[in-house]
Amino acid sequence: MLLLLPMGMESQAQNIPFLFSNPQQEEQISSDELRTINRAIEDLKSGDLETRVGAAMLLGKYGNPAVMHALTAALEDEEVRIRRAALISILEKRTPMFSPALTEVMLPMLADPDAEIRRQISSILPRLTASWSMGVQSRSSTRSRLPYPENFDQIFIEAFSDPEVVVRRNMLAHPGIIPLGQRLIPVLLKCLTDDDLQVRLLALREVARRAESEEFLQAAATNELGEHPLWDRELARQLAYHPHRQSLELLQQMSDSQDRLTRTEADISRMLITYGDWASAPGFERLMQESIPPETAQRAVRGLYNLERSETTRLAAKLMMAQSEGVRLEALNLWLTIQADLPPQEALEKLLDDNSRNIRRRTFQLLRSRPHLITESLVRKMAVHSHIEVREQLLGLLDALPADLAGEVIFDLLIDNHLPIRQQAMRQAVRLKTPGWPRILQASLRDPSSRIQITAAELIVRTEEPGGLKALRKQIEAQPDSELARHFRSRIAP
Amino acid sequence: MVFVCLTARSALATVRAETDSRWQIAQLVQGDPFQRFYPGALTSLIEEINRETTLRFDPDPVVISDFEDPRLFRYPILYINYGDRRDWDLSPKEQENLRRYLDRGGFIFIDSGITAEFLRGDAQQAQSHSFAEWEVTPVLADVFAQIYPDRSFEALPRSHPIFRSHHSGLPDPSALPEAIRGYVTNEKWPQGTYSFVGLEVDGRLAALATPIVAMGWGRNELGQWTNPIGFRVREDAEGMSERLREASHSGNMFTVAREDGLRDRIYTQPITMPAWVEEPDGRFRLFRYYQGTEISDYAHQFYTQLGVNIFVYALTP
Repeated sequence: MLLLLPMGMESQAQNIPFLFSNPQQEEQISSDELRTINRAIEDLKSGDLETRVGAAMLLGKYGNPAVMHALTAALEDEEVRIRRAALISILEKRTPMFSPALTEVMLPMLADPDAEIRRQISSILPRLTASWSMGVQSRSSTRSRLPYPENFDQIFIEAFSDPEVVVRRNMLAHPGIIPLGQRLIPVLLKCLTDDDLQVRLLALREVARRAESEEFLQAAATNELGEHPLWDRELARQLAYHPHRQSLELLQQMSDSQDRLTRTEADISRMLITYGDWASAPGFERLMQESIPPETAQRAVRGLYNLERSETTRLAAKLMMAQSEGVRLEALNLWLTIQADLPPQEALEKLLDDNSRNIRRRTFQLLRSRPHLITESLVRKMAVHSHIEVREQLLGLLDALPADLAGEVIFDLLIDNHLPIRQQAMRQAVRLKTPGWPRILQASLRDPSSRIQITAAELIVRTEEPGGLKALRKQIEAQPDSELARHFRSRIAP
Repeated sequence: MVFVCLTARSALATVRAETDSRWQIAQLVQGDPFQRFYPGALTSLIEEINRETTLRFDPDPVVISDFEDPRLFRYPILYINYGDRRDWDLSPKEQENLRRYLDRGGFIFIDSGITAEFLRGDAQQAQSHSFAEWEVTPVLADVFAQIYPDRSFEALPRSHPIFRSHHSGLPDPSALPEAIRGYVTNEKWPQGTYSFVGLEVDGRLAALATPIVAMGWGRNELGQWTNPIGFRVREDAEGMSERLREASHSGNMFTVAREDGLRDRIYTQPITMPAWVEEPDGRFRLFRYYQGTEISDYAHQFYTQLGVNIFVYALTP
């Protein structure tokens, strides 16, 4: 049987910045557990391999300093099964970061003869290197950064050419935590000729960030253009960070690619390098008309930040009408970030109609932060909108509306098809003292839905509205077996 | 006066048209839809179905808050995450609607409708652990027993067509660590199957309950999986049974139903973390945890494949 669990906790190491972690020490161990632990530690010294493997596995279930010492020692066992078992047992403890002492034993396992062990170690590099990158807290609350042992450099370098592709990919997944500085560049350049495309792509991205333009452009030539569209697209993206004539020539060439996304990426990079007239650039038309992946949309639209503010605003408004959801979303994000003036009413209505929930949510944010954008016409459209959350969100905007319009909205939503909206509308009617609110509550006591009846009764009891209390008593008497009567009979004094 | 206002405005309620003519899925969420579990999961799965098949769904499900909602009858599939309804005490109207919906060809997929006993006390735990068990959660068994007193949820055999309605078999396991590859492919997810239970109406699978699978559907705006998933597998070594039989544990002990109808005893350490299991033949095995990008990716691929298969099956005559 297999159990799957989200590993959210694994990614929260940054929330425990000064932890020199050994949470096992805090666990309470019973005398029975201690006996089990001691026997397992004894079993680890057995001459029988199976007994030792079982002991290393069992120790993963207990937290105790003696367990950690035993498992740490087992990591250096000659038998691969013992090392594997001990490693998984240590990882099972969910320690957000390891002590330098443990790391000094675990990190060299990147060069373990066993591929499984190397894969595991390479996948936890951020946790393993945390005590070096974040430092260690002393008793005086000062943090000191620990020096890496010198022999680790070579271990890291060799891991980039590990025979196991998962190890090579893992090494490139977090290059920022590997403390090799500029010495990493030749290692990355070598990765550009790796057999695995993903390794080459990750390496290309890192080379683009770390190398000088000349070196990067030479590196770019290691793979033939047109051989693989993923390489071409990544190269087109990265060339934007190296604004040279040679880059532009390469991008011009890629603008004629057979691959549509390569053409799009190349056009965007050209726009980002030249910052010319975006609206008339071929790439802009692609952004407006074509299906654009979200990350491409993000890259392109964020490029607009660097234009004149008025131009940014104009183009963002235009891109809010693009075909691609990602582009519309990014344009709206941009609009929110730069605090631009009033977007066209037509654009707002279109955004609220958008099929993308993300876009509708961002539009609500815009309306909440700038209630002056909310017009009567927009309110009326929202009140009868086909998307539930548009109607729900309208209830949160009532305070920004004139009282008579807010009242009308409440009446509209009191008869909504969606029960939670009707319940919320009733609460808002009471809170805002909408004209006729006591009679709304009284009428709602006779609603076909028991949930509406109960909400109305709750509000009547809370407000102690005399007419409502009388109506509630009458309703309970008229339908003594109803859910309403069951809930409120004892709460209403005769 | 109030009634006059309500009546005058009732015309507004009738003009709400659907956004387009594509299929839509209904999703039941009791309370605030924004607080539902795995909020982006169903939309991500629908987008995957739209990409992979010729079916076309609106990516936004229609949210209803209970079975009283008459809109239920407009949609052929109702998805419910068991945890999104806190109160499973159905009103008579809801029971009636649910029976009519299923009798008239509706299909209900209750995700997390299988929740092993040791996870039932904590809604969050139940959402975080997809633990295979071949028994519907008792609350659901009671709900459906009131509606269909002569029927009950039964385990779906591994040969059931729902496991092959679009995808067949497991995703390529070669990227998985060697230590768990055999277990995953042979013992737990053989041929791409999982622990499903179903209730038939008129000889048709009408209600399906599964351990939580939505945990493996969600993608963020950039298309990346949002929720890292680790594996827990059973392992042993020679002589380990004897040691485990005598080992001390500080958590509780629970039993879960197996595919063969027998029961496993699960020992937890501490409190609710399954540590080892005693199987019906007296063998003990340890639960071991494995993590890594390739493991998480594999789990997402598999759960997404299951989700696609379920929805395609539900719409296949």
